[in-house]
Amino acid sequence: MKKKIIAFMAAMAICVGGLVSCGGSDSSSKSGGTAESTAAEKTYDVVSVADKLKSDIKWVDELNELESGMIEKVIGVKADLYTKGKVFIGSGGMTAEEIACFEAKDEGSASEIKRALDARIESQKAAFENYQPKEMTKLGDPVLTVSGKYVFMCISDENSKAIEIIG
Amino acid sequence: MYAAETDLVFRKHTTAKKEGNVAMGRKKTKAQKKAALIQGLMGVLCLGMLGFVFVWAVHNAVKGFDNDSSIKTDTSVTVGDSNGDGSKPADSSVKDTSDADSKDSGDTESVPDTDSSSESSEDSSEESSEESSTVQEIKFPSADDIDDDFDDAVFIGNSRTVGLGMNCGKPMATFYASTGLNVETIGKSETINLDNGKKGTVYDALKQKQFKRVFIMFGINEMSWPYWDGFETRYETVIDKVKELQPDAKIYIQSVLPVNSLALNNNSVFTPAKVDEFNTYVKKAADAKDVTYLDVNSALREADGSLPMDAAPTDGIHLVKKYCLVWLKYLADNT
Repeated sequence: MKKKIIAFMAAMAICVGGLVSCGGSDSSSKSGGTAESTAAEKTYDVVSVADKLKSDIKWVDELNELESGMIEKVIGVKADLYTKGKVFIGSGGMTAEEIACFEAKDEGSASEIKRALDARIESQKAAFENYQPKEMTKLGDPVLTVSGKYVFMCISDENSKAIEIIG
Repeated sequence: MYAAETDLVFRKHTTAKKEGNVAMGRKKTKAQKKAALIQGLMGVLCLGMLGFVFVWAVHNAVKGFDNDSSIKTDTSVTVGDSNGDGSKPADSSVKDTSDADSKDSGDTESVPDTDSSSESSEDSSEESSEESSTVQEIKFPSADDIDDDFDDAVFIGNSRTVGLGMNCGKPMATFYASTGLNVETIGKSETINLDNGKKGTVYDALKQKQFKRVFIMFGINEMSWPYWDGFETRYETVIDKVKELQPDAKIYIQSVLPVNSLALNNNSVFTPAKVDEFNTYVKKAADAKDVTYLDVNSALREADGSLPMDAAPTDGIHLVKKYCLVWLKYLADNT
């Protein structure tokens, strides 16, 4: 009887292991939601990342860089929270497509930036829900990643590519 | 006696034989048990593998093998009929007066000037971008080229004004605008961020601070309304309310901005001719309430009255940044 139980558990372990290993690549590329990476020591050039997101992702809208003085006004991220940042926005009413990459002053500031970007996403959902419902797909599954003191947001149709670029 | 002994020996032999058979039987039972155990183990493994294959197949059937495929289901660019925003005057103010003469009914059909160039949006976009470069030379200012920082101004409107707010490069300016807003919903839709962190209507927001200039642009969301004089009446009500809330401000009513042929994909009413016609109602509302009408279209339209293709290359309605700055420069120069 014991042997049967052991054999059964071994079989289940194989099944679970198989599912986990097969699902691994899926979940890692499952950009959606707000993923928080804990690779705290990794460093990024946020400007380069933002530029690459803009150049490598297929955008519906025409994105333009948001002037530094406009960042707080448009997306609600205060200037004293970051040392470097680059934001691209679309035409405003057509799509919700946006890129925002920040190197925060510290991890606490990174958390505050993430909160501001969460609020921005919610605000955009309210703006587009009845106006451009198709944008809700992007807004419902945004790439919003915190890695140490770095914060990345990318609202596009290509989450997998965005995550790959952010690294 | 002999017979009895023989019988005894025979019985012993029989008993011994029986015991031997029992022992062999025991051996067979152990082997069978082992075989059964192995068979059971293999069976469980097989069941496990079948279960795994089943779960994996269901998982992939539901989630899809390619993550992107589920995300990219809505890449088509469409704008709902009730979407869009903006207001703009089609021609110069002199022309506006003449237009007003010919605007009897809001529902009259007019032949779109852009029909001939709107067979296919792709073709027309290429053609139009060429046209735009030859018909009118638009100078594109940077935000720094525009001296006015609009710190005394508030901009009220729909998604076109939202776009202006995001792309104007003027952080001191105030924008009370939201997507889909129109002259009917302006007093009901709680979509404006208030200073207290809550959401409110445009009217709630106007109670917070006094401005010297109020720029209002509505109309494109209302163009699909069946009765344009109903729009005019409601616009006049909006102006009255803004006057009440901002008694010392100078109020500017901006024309509905032009559209290009891409806008026709969204609604057949979005033609340059219809926009011009609609703007006569906008101007009538401004005149009736004795506020200034701004013909912003004169800065943005091409010879045929349409918006350059590169001004709104996505949907023919929402302006890209460099044209937002042309719009803003017009406001700076004319107020």
